[in-house]
Amino acid sequence: MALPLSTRVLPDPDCLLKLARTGDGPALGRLLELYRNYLTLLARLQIDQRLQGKCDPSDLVQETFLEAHRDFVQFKGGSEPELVSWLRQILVTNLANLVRHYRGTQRRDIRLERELAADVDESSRALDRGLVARQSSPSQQAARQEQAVLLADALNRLPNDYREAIILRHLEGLSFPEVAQRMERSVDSVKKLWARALVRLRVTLGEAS
Amino acid sequence: MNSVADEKAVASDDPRVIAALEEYLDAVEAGQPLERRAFVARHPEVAEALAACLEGLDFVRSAAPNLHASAAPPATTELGDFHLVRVIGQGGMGVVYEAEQRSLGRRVAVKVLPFVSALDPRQLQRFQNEAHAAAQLHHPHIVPVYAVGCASGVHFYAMQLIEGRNLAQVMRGQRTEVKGQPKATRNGKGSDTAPWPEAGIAIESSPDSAPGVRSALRPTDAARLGVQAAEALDYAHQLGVVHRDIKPANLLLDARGHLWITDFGLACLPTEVELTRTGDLLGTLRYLSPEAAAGGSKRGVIEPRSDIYALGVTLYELLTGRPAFIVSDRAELLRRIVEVDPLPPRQWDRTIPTDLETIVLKAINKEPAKRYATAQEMADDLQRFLAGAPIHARRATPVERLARWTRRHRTAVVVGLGVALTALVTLCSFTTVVVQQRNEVRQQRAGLLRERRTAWEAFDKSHTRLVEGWLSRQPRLLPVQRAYLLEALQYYESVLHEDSTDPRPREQTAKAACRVGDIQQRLGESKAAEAAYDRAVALFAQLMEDSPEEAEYRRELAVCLNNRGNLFRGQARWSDALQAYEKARALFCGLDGVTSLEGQAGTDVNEGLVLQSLDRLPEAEAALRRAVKQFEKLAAADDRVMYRHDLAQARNNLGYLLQQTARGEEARTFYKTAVAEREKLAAEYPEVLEFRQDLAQSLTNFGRSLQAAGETEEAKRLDERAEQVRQFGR
Repeated sequence: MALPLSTRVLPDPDCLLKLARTGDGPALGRLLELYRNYLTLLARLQIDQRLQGKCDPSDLVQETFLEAHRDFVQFKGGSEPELVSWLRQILVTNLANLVRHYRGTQRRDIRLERELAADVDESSRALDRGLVARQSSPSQQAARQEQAVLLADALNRLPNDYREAIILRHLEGLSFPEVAQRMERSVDSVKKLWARALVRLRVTLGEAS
Repeated sequence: MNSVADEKAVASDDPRVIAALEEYLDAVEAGQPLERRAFVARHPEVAEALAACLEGLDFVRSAAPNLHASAAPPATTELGDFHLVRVIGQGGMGVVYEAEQRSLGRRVAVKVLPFVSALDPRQLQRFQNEAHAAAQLHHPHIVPVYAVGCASGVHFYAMQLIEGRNLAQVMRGQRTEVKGQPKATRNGKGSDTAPWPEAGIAIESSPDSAPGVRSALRPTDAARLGVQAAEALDYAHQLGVVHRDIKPANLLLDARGHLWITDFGLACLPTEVELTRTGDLLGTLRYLSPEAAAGGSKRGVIEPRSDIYALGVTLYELLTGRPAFIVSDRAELLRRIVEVDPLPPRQWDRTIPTDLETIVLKAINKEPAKRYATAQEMADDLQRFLAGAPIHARRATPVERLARWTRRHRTAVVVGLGVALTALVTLCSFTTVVVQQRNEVRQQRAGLLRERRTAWEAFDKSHTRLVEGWLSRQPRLLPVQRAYLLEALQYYESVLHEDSTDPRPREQTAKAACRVGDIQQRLGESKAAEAAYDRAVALFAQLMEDSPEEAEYRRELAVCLNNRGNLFRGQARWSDALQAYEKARALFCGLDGVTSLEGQAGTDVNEGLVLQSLDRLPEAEAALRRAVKQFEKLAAADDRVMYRHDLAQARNNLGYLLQQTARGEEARTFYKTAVAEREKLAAEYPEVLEFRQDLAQSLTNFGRSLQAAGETEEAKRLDERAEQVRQFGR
């Protein structure tokens, strides 16, 4: 297959994905890098919540990337959202193992899907089938996911204490007094950091788009 | 290092920006997002910085849910037998997809469990147990679960796909859709716009609704939906399955107006941690039963009656168009769920039928034992209501209702009256836990029959406690209060008109006369009130003469004189009023401690008002200054709501007098502190209307004073704030 794009260094995930599909290892590496901030943030949130910060999120992400490289041939998706979901699932599996490890729980043999109560009278209920709601189309879903990646990148460019304020308040859902305690600052100064961080985020996003 | 002062200050450091940001965030987290542009426009002086922050905030908020892995969509579109087609819903419990079940070639809904829950073996086990139980439910109003499974590490279950919307969407979505259509009202004047016309469900939309207010359903529609939900619940309860998460979002309405309960038994109770976390869970917490909200060791067993409660709260919301509890603070919300009764639905909308209100109130009783014993009983009562037959639920008696009302207002029963402050009754401590009152009232009623003396003491004590705070202060009586007063009046009058063969002790008669005077005054019966006061004053004077060392008599007499003074003041009998106040104050001076201070401060405020009416301004000023000092002392020693309110009131009054006598600058110092305190009270007790009215009054006063001083901009800001306060809760 011709590779007309191989000479161009584009952070365009779709191009990188195509390249990676052809076995271009460096392209896959660059592709994965695009999601490092996002996955690290995701891992950190889970580690904080589940494991009280007992391990380093970047280790987990590194492990995830190694497995992604190893198993990339198994990835069948063709779009960025699918890729992100796949990466996230690897991360989640690693995280789950870690949680079980720390909690000392045996790895469960999870049964495959099991049909239950399949004896529903289909003909009599056929009329009621349809949709539950029209809330979110796949593209909106993708857009939101992309936003999360953008946010993670934007957060990464903030000064440390600005970033902490946003993560603790909005992503870990702590109250301001709790954030203040964690950051060992006064509530007032935490609120100031927070407001400044919000302004800065907006600027960063403006530059990105 | 412990501050951000080392950096150059930026515009967003402005405390006004931060306060506004927090307000905005609170609203968003309470599930009542504000319109950004309008919100910025309300803060013109910091508009630019605020707008920048809000843009950032909205971005964080919109992106954040995808960082909670709970919302993470599965990696593939294939889950075993199911092919996921598209996302059709997203909530705290996971994402719902429209999917195709390959083996049976049918379209289904697949809900994917948050992986966070799946990480916890106990939660996972519970999910599986409950999903299996739910899968066995076959009822025309329960969404059937087809399959429960796990594929590619993702836990999910498949269920029937229902065409329609959930009731939260039905209530929320209406206004935009019905725009431009003729308005009409429930009683036939016009507005039944059907937002979901196929279903024949009409929605009442209020044009100027407060935040959090949605469109209400027609009462009969709400009742009909309630019957369907209650019957489905009863069926499940009989099989030992509890839903645990009944709320509008879990009740689906299909195109035929048929109701379906979904997510049966799948909800997990929030853990301690989640209960105390801030964030998006709030919308779900609103429907928690008191026994679930209590948390910790006090947490009760979740049982069918918890579902009945949740259905009651849901009906409340369908009927009134607003959640039973609107609070943005999580801890405060939980406290209220446990302790505070929501306003009865008819307080929001008088067109809601009384019987329907009674049914809802029974379902949401704080005590599970007082709710409907079974969901079927609730369904039956709703059916009776729909059929126009008498319902079985009983309304509370006036005494029970008042006791409940008092419990709801707890320390906040103090409500402001623009004109007067009185030291009416100070017998009992305000901090007494009012929850006990209901039992006391009941016990003492039994006691009435058995032992007259005990009954008198119990009744008088309880009465004093119940009416303290509002009898002389509240501008308008609520129906529940009036009903109670009439009952109490009957009792006190029976004491006064006792036949002479078995005379009451003089003390009882004197107190009864004083209470009758108070009640009659409140009910507007000035003549009867004056006669009763005269009798009480004469009796207490005798009692004091006989036992001069008895502080109780002295205090009662002083209170009685003060209240008689108020009666005179209301009739513009200024010199009679002054005389009464002066005597009262002299008596209060001879008492000790807080009682003395409270009494003097109260009579000083009252005297100040009379002197102002007489244009004896220097004397009025002196009286008000004394009052402010005394209330300051009281409030410093004890931050109970009554003192805080009284102090703010006295400062407001003094400010007004100073403004009148051309001392605007000093007036503003008093207005300023009054406004600050009243802002706090209004924020802490949003359900007490009078606190907002007081606040608006002080803001207006303050604004006028600033206007007079040429500070037009600040004056305008205060005026706008006053208007905003008045608008809120209308």
